[in-house]
Amino acid sequence: MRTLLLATVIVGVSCAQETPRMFQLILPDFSEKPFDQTASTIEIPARPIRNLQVQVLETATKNIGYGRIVVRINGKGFGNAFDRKANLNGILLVMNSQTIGLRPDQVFDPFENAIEVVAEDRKGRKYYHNWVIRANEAAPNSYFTYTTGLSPDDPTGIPPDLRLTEPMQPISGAARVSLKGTFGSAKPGAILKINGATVATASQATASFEHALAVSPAMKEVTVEVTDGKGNRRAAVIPVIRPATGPKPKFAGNRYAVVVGVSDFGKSKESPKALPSAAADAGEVARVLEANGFPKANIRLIRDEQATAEQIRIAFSDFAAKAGPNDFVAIYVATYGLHDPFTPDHLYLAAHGTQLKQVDVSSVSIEELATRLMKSVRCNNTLMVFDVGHKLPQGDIRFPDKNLVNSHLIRLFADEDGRAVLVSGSADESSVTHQSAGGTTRSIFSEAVASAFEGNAADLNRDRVLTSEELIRYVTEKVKQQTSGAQNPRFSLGKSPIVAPLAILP
Amino acid sequence: MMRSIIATFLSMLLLVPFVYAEPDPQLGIRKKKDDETLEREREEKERKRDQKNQSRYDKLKEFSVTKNKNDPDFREEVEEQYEDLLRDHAEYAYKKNTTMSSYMKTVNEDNWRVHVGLYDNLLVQNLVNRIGQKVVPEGSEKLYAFKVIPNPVPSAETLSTGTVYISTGMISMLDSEAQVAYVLAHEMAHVHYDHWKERTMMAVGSEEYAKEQQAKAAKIGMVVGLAGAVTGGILGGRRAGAGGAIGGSLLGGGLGFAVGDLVGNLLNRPLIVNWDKIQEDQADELALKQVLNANFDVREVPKLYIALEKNVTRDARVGLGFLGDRKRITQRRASVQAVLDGAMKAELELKLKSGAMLGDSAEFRNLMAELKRDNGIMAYYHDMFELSRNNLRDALAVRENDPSVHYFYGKVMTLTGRTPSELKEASQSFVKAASFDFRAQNYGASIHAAMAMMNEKRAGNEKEIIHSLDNYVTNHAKWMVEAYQMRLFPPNLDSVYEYMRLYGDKGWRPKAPDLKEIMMYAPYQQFLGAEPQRGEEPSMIRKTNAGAEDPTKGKVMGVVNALVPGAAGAVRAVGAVKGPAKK
Repeated sequence: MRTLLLATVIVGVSCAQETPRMFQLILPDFSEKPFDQTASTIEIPARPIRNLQVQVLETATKNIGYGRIVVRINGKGFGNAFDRKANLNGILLVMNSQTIGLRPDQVFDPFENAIEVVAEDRKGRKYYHNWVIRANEAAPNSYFTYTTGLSPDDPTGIPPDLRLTEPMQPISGAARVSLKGTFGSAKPGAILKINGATVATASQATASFEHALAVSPAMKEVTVEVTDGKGNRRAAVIPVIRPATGPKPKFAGNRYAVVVGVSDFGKSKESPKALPSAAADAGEVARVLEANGFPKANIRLIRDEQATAEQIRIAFSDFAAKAGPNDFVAIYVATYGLHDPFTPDHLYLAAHGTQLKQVDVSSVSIEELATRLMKSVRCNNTLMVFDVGHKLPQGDIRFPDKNLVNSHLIRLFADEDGRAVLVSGSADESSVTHQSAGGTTRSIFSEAVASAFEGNAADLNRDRVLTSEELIRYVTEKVKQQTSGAQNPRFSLGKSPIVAPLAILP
Repeated sequence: MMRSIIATFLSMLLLVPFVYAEPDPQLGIRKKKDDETLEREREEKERKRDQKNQSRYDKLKEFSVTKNKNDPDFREEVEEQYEDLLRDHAEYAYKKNTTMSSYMKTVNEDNWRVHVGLYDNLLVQNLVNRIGQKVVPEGSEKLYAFKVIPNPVPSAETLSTGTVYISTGMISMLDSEAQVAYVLAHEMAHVHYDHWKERTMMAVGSEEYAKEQQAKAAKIGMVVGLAGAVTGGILGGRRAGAGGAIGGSLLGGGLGFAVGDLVGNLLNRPLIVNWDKIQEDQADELALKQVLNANFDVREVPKLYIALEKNVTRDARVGLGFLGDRKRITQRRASVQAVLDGAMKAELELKLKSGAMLGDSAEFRNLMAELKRDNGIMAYYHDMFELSRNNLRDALAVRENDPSVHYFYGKVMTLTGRTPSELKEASQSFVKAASFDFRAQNYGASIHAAMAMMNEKRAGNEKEIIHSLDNYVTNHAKWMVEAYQMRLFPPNLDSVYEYMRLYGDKGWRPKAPDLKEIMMYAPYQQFLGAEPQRGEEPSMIRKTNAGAEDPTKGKVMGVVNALVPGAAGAVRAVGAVKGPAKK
């Protein structure tokens, strides 16, 4: 059933109408064979993407011109990074190192990339498809910094493997630390170094390692590096965090929060199925915020029938606008994130009253969300948390491609100062729920958000101040562990980090 | 009165059966047939007209060529007129080349770059010129230059100097680099085939031809007149003797001259040959060949004609220059298609197989986004709404963080939007424009965003409205300060910002020259004459942000004052001490 759904492209006329294959993705660095529309998530070796091609088929019969093809990578328009050539199959869009150079921004994410293509014919009909390309390795630890480098002698090579299983967090307060994991490359002989000192050489393609390291008081980080026989390298940098000293920082500004949870979407036949966890999760997040310095009057909690598209808009603009430049705004949303099945390149957040056949007029578009927040929120301390990766039950699926709402959300404020965004998972990943001790259905992601305020697990430097960045990294790792890697939250810390503390912990 | 009432009643009775008649099921088919017949008749008429034109053109051409070959005076006249034309074209090119390229213009809350003479974007000019050079026939003895002119009205034209001008409006309407290549190749072909010289020769030839026909007419008139006089005299003499004979002669002579003149004029009527058609066809043919040779996707050409035809139908301003005779677009498209399906088919398939044919390059698409932004703004001020909307929307697909694109898209959507979703789009565009406007250049976005919020009539957004209005005022002042200082910097500073960002310096700002260095020139202030005319608007050159006349007229003082407002006095003091004594 899933394969059948994936093979169907929405053309903007009717969902049931089967349409021909229109697009192929080609990754020449990894495979000569094109990935067509039936391909699910594409896994590639963990090395940089340098060349990418999109074949648009049947352009002549469909009357699609060169200028009517839009390509987005991770939610951003990159149409100007492709040469467009004619071949017997239609139009081939070619991105290579030369054309990538025309863009000042970073095109590809080292771990996951969502590619969308929209072609419009001369009559205005749209054809859409997307692919998710993921490196075939575990999602990187969000606390660590990773770098890879290919030897000039082996430009098409693959960097060696490095997986750390211990520690899983930055090194904090210990005099000695145990480092464990695996490393290797296609051929035996990979060398493992820790802080520049060789500690192991792989006698096979993959080897495990265990090393105890004394942490000196001056040490700021630990670098674990693997180099293969050709000189390709991969490194992970583990930060060393010292307990904070001195007086506890104070926050003089006000804190505001908009918390939205939609479990009940209405009783119409076209309403999305109920999402049991969302309202409860929102309630819990509001409670935790109130317990940690957000005055009750400054928290706008809207759930279920209160959470209509209009009320969400008002909360995002009018309420959030109360915050001044030095205040703090927290935004939390739990609902379905949807593509409009009729114009799949448009994405929305479902509200109470959303109709699946009229998503555009009954939901809040994420573009609109962005502009409302841009317009109203003046403070540079804004944390946005979205638990919107919930999948509609099978019967409600109108959209056969991958759900890219998370990929788009983390892009929205990536170039802005002091705006951090945390989303519940990677592209097309479902938000995992479970039955809590009280019998309520809860989302693991939202539970992790609430738990960051409890104890000191998230407060790594033990300064009793929870920063947005601490919460984000803590939630990311916790969800990955609890779901065994099935759900990998992603985040953007903005152009410059949020300065104001999220909460002063007791 | 009664009669007319009865008549009206009767005629209404007669009409009733038609009004209430059941629809004839055959009517639609008949109508279709009638339409088809009319279309065939029209085509036939056009074909005959073309044949006639062709025959007249051939006749005139044969006449002119023969004259040019055998008559030295004629040849000299052609050369003289052609030299005049070359001089005129060189003068025209000089004016275009030496006109100030661009300046910032402010109209109320709007602020944008006005381009004069040539489009002030070095990268676009360079790219278009490179595309043009690719389609010049190998071994061509002539040299060409391809230049972009800032005009939202689509046009392309050629000078006898080898200069090809294409307007921003024309480029913005084209869908691909291949189409741009075709338009440039077509214009280049006019020079390649010496069409200007041919046109001059035929103009001289036409005059000569007319003169010869005039002389023939005069002779015919004389003969017919004489014949008339004789006939009239005989007839008049029979009826009224000598007097009658004289009268008859005069009358007959008059009639004879009239007939003769008519005959002569018929022979001598100006040859309204559609000779552009011949040259256009020649140019089309060469352009098609050159576009294919340069590995551009030549299949884009018929699509270009379809697009232009569609746009011509919507807006009569479209299609000036390149299109030539608008009635012939369909015909030209058909002949291009025929070549593609016939003579070029094999080569085309070969190139398609090799995958070497380019529709457009990443560089082209990148630069087109800049051009479409600028043309969209120009089109907005020319009330070319559809072109403006389309251009700005296309620019947004690439330049999603460009405040000017968002701002003017918001403007055109506010002005022409009818549905709530269009107005919402407009309002969102203003918000984005204000958000991305790090240089406070599109300060008008804030007041428009405030107005959009006021129109929402929603309680609770007062704070946002106040904030937006406040932003508008402050950013306007910020911009005025920057604009005042910007007089010192190159006019294409926007492009420089763009390139700096592209090559990694995202926060680059233009640096003021070292004040000490400038002060060294202060003593020579008195030797400097008036500032050269830069074609810039007086308000931008001379006036301060408060609208007052710049107190320092000298160049150096102007620079110093612009860098450090208030420093002019200090510099004057320095000049008084150290500078040469004033005479």
